[in-house]
Amino acid sequence: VDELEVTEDPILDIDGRDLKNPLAVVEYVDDIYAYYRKIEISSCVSPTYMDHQSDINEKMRAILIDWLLEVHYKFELMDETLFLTINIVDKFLERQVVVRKKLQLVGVTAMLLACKYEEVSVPIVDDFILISDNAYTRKEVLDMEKLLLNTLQFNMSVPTPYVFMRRFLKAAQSDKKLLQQFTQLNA
Amino acid sequence: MEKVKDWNYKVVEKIGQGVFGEVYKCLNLETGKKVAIKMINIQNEPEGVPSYLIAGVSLLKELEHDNIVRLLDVLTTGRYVYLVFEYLDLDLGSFIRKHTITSIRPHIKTILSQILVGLAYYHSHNILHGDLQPSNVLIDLKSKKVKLADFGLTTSFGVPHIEYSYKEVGSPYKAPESRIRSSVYSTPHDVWAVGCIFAEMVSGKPLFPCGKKDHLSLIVSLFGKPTKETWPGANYISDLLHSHPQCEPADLAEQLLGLGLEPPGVELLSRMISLNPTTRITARNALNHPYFKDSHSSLSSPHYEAFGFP
Repeated sequence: VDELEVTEDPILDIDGRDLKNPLAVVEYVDDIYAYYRKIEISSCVSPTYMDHQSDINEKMRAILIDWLLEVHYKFELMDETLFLTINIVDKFLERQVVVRKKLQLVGVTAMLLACKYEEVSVPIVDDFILISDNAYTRKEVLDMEKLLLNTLQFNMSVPTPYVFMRRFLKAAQSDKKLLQQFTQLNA
Repeated sequence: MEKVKDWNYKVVEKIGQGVFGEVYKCLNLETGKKVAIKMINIQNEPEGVPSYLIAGVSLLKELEHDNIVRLLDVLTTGRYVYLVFEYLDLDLGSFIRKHTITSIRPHIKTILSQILVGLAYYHSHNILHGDLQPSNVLIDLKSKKVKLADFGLTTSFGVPHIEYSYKEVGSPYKAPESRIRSSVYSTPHDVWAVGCIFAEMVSGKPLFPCGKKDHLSLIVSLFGKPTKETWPGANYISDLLHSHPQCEPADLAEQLLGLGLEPPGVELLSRMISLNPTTRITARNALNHPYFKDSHSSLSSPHYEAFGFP
């Protein structure tokens, strides 16, 4: 094993050029990712959770996610918000049986919560009702918000695939455009 | 408290009240364990659960440390967000009241170092405690652990905020800069409070007792009349200070040495209650202070079995 390691290329220092950028928090980056790896499991859902759902299936989830991608684009939200939204949807569907009619309500409310967690400027509840073509009332959205929070127990500080992807793409010395493509692909 | 379905807690007594809501000591009927339940009023929030609560509570859920009470459970109803915290029966306030200063003396280092370890953990997660005082420092005699709690509801979640005037009301543990107009409230504020708690453990009485004199007079009588060099906030309240007579600083060191505090302890305390928040010692640096050199505490050792309690 030791011999193999010797023949490998030296590890490239990918953070060196960010030393002067305080937002890159270079001195904490190893700590932060070590912590993400440690708690990564808390953001994961069972790959077979859909088996417990009777009225919805993977295909409906895919349609919902496609629609959320469009809403996310239209509201000009951050990438982090999209990944958190999907994580909230999956964690909720893993724990609660949802009827077809309410699936979009779960999605739109998950995005409201993700916005409240991530965004500086949060779209208002009425924006989300309008974008859902008035399919749900304000009360339904706010009630769903409470149900989501109670089910997830406010556990929203989770490392989504986005944080790892960003790091790996930095290590691969990719550019910003590739990150955008990956975001669309992985969501 | 409102009636909540499937809610297995029985109210024992009210232990706190603030702008954000109320705090109750309760009993978990399933486990028999005591908890503190903090209720945050959200009835008048048109946009549902506010962002600061969502970000703040999910941050609190992440905190897991021996010296900080655990957030065990969260429940949201139409009217309140309930935060269920671990609760311990003894708080430092009653501990100090019930014991003589000579019997407290051997435990000061243990208690102080654990407060600082907990606080350094808060600050490393970018969270301010904001309301440190003896009643928010809980003691578990069995496990010999000290845990920080926040049952006062005087602040929200570590959101830096700006005070707009010189306030006389408020806890006697609040740092002087928090009372000054346009000063930003940050981590040194918590260290000041720890300094006050430290002095209270040594002398058995609050460093800045509320009621007797106004807070500003107490500061002037302890530090002498501040100038804008010793206290950058002084120029904001120059007219208030102007009415105070010039006086010699009290010899706090002399008093504390007389009460049995070692010289390194006096030095550490003076750095914790530095008037200027930018020169005040940080929680993490305080732990490396020579005062703790002969004790077993350090940030790297999470176990405190070595410490003795009465």
